[in-house]
Amino acid sequence: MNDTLPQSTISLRIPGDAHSVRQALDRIDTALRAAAQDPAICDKAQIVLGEVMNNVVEHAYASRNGTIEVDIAPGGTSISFLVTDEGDPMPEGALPSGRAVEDGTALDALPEGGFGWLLIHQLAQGIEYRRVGSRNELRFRLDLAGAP
Amino acid sequence: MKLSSRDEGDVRVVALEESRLDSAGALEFKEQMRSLGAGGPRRVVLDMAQVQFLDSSGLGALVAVMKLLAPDARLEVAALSPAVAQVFALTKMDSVFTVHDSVQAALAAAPS
Repeated sequence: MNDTLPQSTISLRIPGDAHSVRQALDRIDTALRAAAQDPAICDKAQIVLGEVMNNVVEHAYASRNGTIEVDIAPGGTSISFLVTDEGDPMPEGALPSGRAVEDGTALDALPEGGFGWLLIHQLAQGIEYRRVGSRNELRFRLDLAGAP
Repeated sequence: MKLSSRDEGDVRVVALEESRLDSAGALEFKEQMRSLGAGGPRRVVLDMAQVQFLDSSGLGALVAVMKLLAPDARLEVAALSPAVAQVFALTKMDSVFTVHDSVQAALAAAPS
């Protein structure tokens, strides 16, 4: 994007476990706020990145250990994200869809999971998954409010 | 995972004294809430004022706790920060849980 102000990329490489994800989210939040990003976008970044990275921990690295790489490029109209891991591929090699709870669902029938992809699909734009050799690459964007 | 509990009349107020309810803490939260919420008042209000981040695992734990406490008690939530309120709204859990603006508002509200 030529119209964006040059801003430095945020890159992290962390162990694929829940506590490291939590620490990484804190560091990323601090970095994005320091880059003067809108607080609403910082909240969305926390939510989406948390879901994406915890999915890697729980699914791609369900049966082994590995690292997660996160590259974040803040721009003038959107923030671009790339999350890479060396774990198992997505089931069917494609993105899972999220499902919303229907109104009037009985308490017993309420799901206790499956909210993650629903949140990702609702908050992020341009979500792309690629399997490259033994690596998973997930790209997405968060568009800034008021961007043309 | 720090939780504190007190009874205000016929309401048990449980304050979640953590900045996050996430994948790393969901299981412990569920276990502590099981004992804090059982055998007391019929209304259990979770004060989330200190919680700045809720993920899908944390949300799943809240749903699990609501199921665990039913039918003897009902879990309600209060004082959601903007990021937490957004997660409730996007997943439509704001229509599943009774959401109060504050603990005081919850105490003033009639039992749902």
